[in-house]
Amino acid sequence: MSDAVDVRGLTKSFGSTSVLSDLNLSVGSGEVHGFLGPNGAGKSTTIRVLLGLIRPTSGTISLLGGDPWSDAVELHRRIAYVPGDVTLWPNLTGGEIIDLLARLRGGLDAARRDALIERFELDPQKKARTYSTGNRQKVALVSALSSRADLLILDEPTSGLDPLMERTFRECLTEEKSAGRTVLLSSHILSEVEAACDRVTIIRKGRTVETGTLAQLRHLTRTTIEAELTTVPAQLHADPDIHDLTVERTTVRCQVEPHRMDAVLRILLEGGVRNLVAHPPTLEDLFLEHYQNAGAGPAEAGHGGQHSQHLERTAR
Amino acid sequence: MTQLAGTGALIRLVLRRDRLILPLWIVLVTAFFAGTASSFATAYPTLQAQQDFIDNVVSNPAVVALIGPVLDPGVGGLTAWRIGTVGSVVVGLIAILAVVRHTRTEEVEGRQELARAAVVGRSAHLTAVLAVVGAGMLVMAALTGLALAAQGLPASGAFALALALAAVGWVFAGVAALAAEICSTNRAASGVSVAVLALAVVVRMGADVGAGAGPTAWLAWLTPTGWLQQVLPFSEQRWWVFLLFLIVTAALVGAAYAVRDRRDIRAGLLADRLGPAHAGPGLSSVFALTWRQNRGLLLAVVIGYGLLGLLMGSAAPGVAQAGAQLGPFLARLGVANGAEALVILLIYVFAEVLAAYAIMVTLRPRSDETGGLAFVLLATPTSRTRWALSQFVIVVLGTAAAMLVRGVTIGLTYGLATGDLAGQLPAAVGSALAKLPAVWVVAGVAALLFGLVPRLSVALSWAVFVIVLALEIGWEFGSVPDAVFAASPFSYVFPLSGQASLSAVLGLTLVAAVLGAGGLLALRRRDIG
Repeated sequence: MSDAVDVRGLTKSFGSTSVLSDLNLSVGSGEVHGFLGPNGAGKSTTIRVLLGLIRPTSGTISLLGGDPWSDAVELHRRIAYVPGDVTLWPNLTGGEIIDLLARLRGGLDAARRDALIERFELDPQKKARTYSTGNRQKVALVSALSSRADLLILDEPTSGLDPLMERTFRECLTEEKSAGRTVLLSSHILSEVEAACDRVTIIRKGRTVETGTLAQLRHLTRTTIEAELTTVPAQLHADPDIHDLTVERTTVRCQVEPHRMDAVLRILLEGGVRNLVAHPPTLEDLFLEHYQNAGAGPAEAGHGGQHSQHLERTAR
Repeated sequence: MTQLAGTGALIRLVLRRDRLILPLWIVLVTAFFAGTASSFATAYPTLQAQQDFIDNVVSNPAVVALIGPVLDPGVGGLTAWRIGTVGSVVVGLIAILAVVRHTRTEEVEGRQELARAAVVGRSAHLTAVLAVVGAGMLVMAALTGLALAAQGLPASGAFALALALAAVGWVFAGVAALAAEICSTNRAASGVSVAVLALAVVVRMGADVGAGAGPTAWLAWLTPTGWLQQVLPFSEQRWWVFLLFLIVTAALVGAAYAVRDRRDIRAGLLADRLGPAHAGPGLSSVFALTWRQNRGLLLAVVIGYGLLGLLMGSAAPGVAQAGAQLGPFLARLGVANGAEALVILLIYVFAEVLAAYAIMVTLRPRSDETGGLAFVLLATPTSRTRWALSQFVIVVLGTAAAMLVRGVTIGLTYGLATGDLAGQLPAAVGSALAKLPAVWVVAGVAALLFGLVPRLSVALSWAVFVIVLALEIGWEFGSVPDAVFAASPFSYVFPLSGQASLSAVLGLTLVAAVLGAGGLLALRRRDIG
C-alpha cells in the first residue's frame, strides 16, 4: 500500500532563515501518525507545505499520490485540516461555518455533524467572534471529523479543550482509525499520542530526529531497571552497557541498552534477585530527551541522530 | 482615578507602535498645508492677481459648493479656503484611524485583555490614545502655524487656522472614541466614524450651495468643517468658535467614557444575538462567502452614494440661481452653467473617493492572510485564484453599483429640478460609469502589489491613493504639469471636455484587467502567510 504522506529531504527557507532542513516524514495509509517536536521545531510549517500553502525550497513530497503544491485544489477534496490557531469568520455562526466548509469540500455526513456537535457540546448558533479558543477549535474539529476526507491533518487540535472534551476527541480518533482514515496528528499531549498513534515522528529544529512505531522507539532507548538483590555483583560497575547506575545498599537502579538486556539480567541473577522491576521508556522520556537537547545545534543531534539512522533500517 | 492606572505606560506603548506613522503624518500634513500657502503666494503675488483668481475661479458656484467661499482676504484667506475641507478630511481620517486602532482593534484582537489584567484601569487605553492624538494634533498645529507664519502670513491668523484644523481632528477623535465604544468590531467603528466625517463634509457643501449667503447657510454651524471656516482666521478671528469645538469634543469623549463604564470588555452596546445553526442554501461557495463578508460595507457605500446623489442633485440648481457669471473654468468643463459643472465635478470627485473603497476591498484577502482565515479557506478545495478573484469581483461590481446609483440619483433629481430628465439622467449615468475604469486601475495596482509584495501591499496601495490625490490637487493649481498628471488614471477621465473618450475608458479597463491578472498570477506562485 502506498503511503498517504511521503516527505523526503524537505527544506524550507524564508529569506536567510532556514526553518526546515532535511525533514523526512512518512505516513502510511490508514495510519494514525503522531507528529511531535518542541515549539518552533517546524511542525506547522511542514503542515503548510503539505497543504500547498507554502512552496518547499527543496525535497520530494508526495501527498495522497499527488504534489501538494501543483495539485492543491484536487488534493484538498480528500483532506480535512484543523489549524493550530483556529481563526473563523467572526460574523458567521459555528453551524454556518461547519456547513460552509463542508460544501466547499464537497459534502459532509449530516448525521455525524449533528452527533459531533452534541458530543463536543458546541452551540452552533453563536457567532464565531463570541467563541472561546476551545470552542473555535471544536468548530474546526467537528468540521474535519464530519467530512468524508481520506486524510485528516490535525495541528494541536486539543490545545484549547478541557479534559472531558479531550477524552471525546480521543474516542473520535479511535473511531476514525477503525474507519480506516489516515490521520496526521501534531500534538503536545503525549498520552493522547501514545494512546492513539501507530507511529510517531519527532522533529527538532526542522529536522527529523526519530521516527517509527512506539515499540521501535522504545527499543532504541534504554530501559530502566530497578532490582533488589542479595548481593551486588562487582561486574555491574565494570559493564560499559550499564548507565546511570545507583546502588543503595542492595537496591540497584540503572539504565540498559535494549540489545544488552539479556546480558545485564544474567549479571543481576548472579547477585540473587529478590525483586525486579523493568519498564520501557515512556513517550515522555523519549520526548524530554530531545527537548532537553534542544540547546544543541542541529548538526550534532546527539544519539537521536544515530537513532533515526537505525530506524531508517529497522522501520522498513 | 484607578480607572486611569497605567495610562502613562500605555501612552508610551502607543508612541512606540506609531513611532513611524505619527511623525510621518505630522510632517506630511504640515508640508501639505504649507505647500498650499506657498503655491498661492507664488501664483498670485499681488492683491490684484488674488482678486482675479477669486473672480475667475471662486466666483464659480460649483467650486464654492465643493470647497467653500473665500471668506478672508489675501494669501491667508486663499490658503484657509483651499485647505479647509481637504484638511478637515485628512486630519479627521488620521484621528479616526488612530483612535480605532488603539481602542476597539486592541480589544477585538484580545491584546487589551492582556494589558488590562495588569495594573491598568478600565479607561486607560481610551485616555492614552486620546492624549497622543490630541497632543499630535497640537504639534501639527504648532508646526503648521510656524510654517505659514514663516511665509509671511499674519502669525495670529496662521496659528488660528492651524489650531482650527487641530480642533477638527479632536472632534473626530471624539467621534471615533464613541463609535469604538458602541460598535463591537473595529471595521464597524471606523465605518461609522468615516460616515460621520463624510456627512460633515456634505453638510458643509449644503451650507455653501448659496455661496455662503443662501437660505442654507445656517447649515455651516452644524459641522466641524463649517466651524473651521467660521473662525475667519485672517479677518475677524472669532476665537469663541473654539468653544464649539471644545464643547462638542468634550461631549463625545464624555459619552465614550460613559459607555465604557457600562459595558463589558469585547462587548458593544448591543449584545450579540444567536444566529442560524445551519448555513442557508445560499452560503455554499467562495463567492457566497465573499459576498457575505463584503455586503455590509458595500450596501453602506451604495446607500451613502445614493443619498448624497439625491441631496446634491436637488441642491445643484440652487447654484445656478445664485447666478454667477460663467468663468473660463466652465468653458474648460464644456458645460452651460454652474449647476451642471457642479454635477459633473461631484461625480468626478466621488469616483476618486471611491478608489479608497476599492483599495480597502481589494486588500481584504491580505488581512484574511495575516489573520489566519486564508489557511482555513485554502485548505479546502478552493484555489487561490478563486479566493482572490471573488474579492476582485466584489470590487468591480461594488464600485459599479456605487457609481451607477450615484449617476441615477443625481441625474434624476437634477433632471427633475431642471425639467430636463430625458437629457440629464443619461448624461449623469454615462458620466458616472465612465469614471469607473480609473477606479479599477487603482484597485488593479493594489491587486498586483498584493500578489507581488504582500507585506508591503497595504502601505504601498495607500501611498498610491495619496499620490493620485496629490497629483490632482497639484494639477488643479498648475504646479503639476499635464505630463505628470498623466500618471494618474483619473487624468484620462477628467471631465475637461464633456465625456471621457471611449478609447480612454477601454484602455483603462484593459490596464486594470492586466494589473489584476498579474496580481493573481503572482499570488499563485508565492507563499501564503
